[in-house]
Amino acid sequence: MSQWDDTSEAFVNPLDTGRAAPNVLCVGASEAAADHTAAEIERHGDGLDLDVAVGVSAALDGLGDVDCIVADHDLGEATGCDLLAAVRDEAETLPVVLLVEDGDEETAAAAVNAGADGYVRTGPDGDPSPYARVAECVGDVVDRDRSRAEHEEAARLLTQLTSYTVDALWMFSADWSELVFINSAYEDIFGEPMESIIGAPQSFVEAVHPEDRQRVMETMQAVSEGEARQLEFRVNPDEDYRRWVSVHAEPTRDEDGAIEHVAGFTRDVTRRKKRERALEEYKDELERSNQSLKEFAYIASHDLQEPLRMVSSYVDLLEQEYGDRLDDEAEEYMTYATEGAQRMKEMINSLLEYSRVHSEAGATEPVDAGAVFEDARQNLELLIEERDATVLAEDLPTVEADPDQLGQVFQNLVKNAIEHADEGDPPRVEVSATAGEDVHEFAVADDGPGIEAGQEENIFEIFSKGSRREDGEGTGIGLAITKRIVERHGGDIWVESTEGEGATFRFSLPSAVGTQETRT
Amino acid sequence: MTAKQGEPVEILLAEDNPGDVQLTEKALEQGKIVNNLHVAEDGVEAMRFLRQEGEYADSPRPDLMLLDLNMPRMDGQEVLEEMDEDAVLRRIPVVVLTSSEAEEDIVQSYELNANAYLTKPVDFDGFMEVIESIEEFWLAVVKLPPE
Repeated sequence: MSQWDDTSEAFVNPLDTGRAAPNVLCVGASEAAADHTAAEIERHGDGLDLDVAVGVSAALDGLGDVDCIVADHDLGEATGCDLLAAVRDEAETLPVVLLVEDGDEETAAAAVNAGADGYVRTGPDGDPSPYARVAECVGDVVDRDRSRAEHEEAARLLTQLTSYTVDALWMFSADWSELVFINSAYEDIFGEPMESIIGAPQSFVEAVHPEDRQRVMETMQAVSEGEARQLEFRVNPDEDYRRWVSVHAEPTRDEDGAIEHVAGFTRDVTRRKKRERALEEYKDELERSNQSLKEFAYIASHDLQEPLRMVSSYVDLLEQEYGDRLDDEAEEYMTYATEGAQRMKEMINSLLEYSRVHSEAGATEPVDAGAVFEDARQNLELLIEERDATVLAEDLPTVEADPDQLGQVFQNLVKNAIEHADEGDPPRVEVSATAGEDVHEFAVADDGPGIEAGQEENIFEIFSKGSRREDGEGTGIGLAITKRIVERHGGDIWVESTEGEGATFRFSLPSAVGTQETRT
Repeated sequence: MTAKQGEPVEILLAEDNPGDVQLTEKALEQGKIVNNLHVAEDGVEAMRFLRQEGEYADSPRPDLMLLDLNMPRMDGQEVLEEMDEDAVLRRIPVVVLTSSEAEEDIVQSYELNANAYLTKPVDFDGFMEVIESIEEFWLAVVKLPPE
């Protein structure tokens, strides 16, 4: 069932309740005349509540619950037309049926002119069964009156209801030429007065951004031809068309399935659009900046290779060809030059590696962290043996990750723990995990010297001194790469440490939940 | 191929950096293969040498070419493209020397008509190893049956 059907039912339903039998007031010149009319109507009509009144003033006193008046033309001192006029003053829409003496064409004409809702001719040459006609006439006029009242009430409720919504709700004829309904939200959204759309139903198109008009008109055409459509466009010339609206439009059909109306709503989505645009711009900016970082890292590392090669190769050649002619001091100088060049080479390679975290990122998939950890541990076998290290892991959960990069994270953290252990003190590294609903948290704990207070964040920076060993081993980029990988996966990494009492690196990764988008 | 082991191998080095030229000379001196090294300092000179134009009229046809990618006037990629269009030059084995592994990744993706890609190492010992691998490559080439 369409949205519109739901809505239409909702505001028609309450009016169906409480239909009582119509109250009919029979007015005559005398009680006998009035009773006679009432008795005759009762004989011919079903479901009518009949009451009587004598004369105009009595009739006017009893108007309270009356749905229809049936009056003789002859009311003694007054006529039915007089009564009609008096009733119109009191109750403008109350139906009045006049009984006109046969042959009195003048009176009949006067009754119609005065606005009688019906008249019935009595007498020998009048209607063959005048009271059956009266009963029928009463039923007709009551129905007519009631449905008019119901329409008015429906319109009132609809207006009241729709005045509470900030969406513009509307209904047009199938070809958009006539406006059936629109609520006042239109004024605010389109920046146009209600009068203009009521006077010229298609004038709203002029409040649409000129660049969007074509799309809007094509959509209107499609809805007229029977399609349900949704469209977003800009409106409101007063605000330089900065308002974005989202429109849902559907055709409504009559019982035979023919398109009767087009209806829908127009919602102001400017804030959402602004957010989307800001997000889009931020994303573009981020991509640009990532791209330039990648290019910078590539150019820097690539272009640095050549001068570096000149330095270290020619120091080597000096050593080879003139080594026997150099004294100890010169030898020492050359050692510094060689070591500096070697160190620079490592830094350049690290920089390249860092810039590749994003450019060579694979898609994420559910990964058994335990298996990935085992591979990483095997890659470090040499280092572990050399330092007589103990590397243990609990059962590790399945996470959503790029397996190669997750392996790099484990490898970097374990390697970092072993390399930073005090010389001659066999390091112990323990890896564990706490499973959460959306994220799993991993911990890599060591019993090394810990991290100097205040350095907990610096160690994740590229080439940070804090992550470098005093003997110059390592380039100080392993943790920066690790952080970059974890963040690329939508996780977080931090370290908890007390100087002299080891350090625990903790990082979070999304738990595996079927397919998930790759974050880049 | 006309060169035999023992006879000098004619090698053309296209390289604009004099430091690299000298390193190559040194490394080849220390290598196992007797060779004549000819040097072209950019792609245009290299093509003139290959086509024996002007002062290169009497130059030998190289048995092996060592090609740097980054050169002024005409770079290594353009040299490879021109060589590929020439039925004779196309048959000269070419070893491309790159400045970094990153550059090697990129040039490989162009699928240039080169026989090997080697990254110039930063120290002289590494450079010697590269020259040795070029010599091995060369020995493998001369063992191939003539086309």
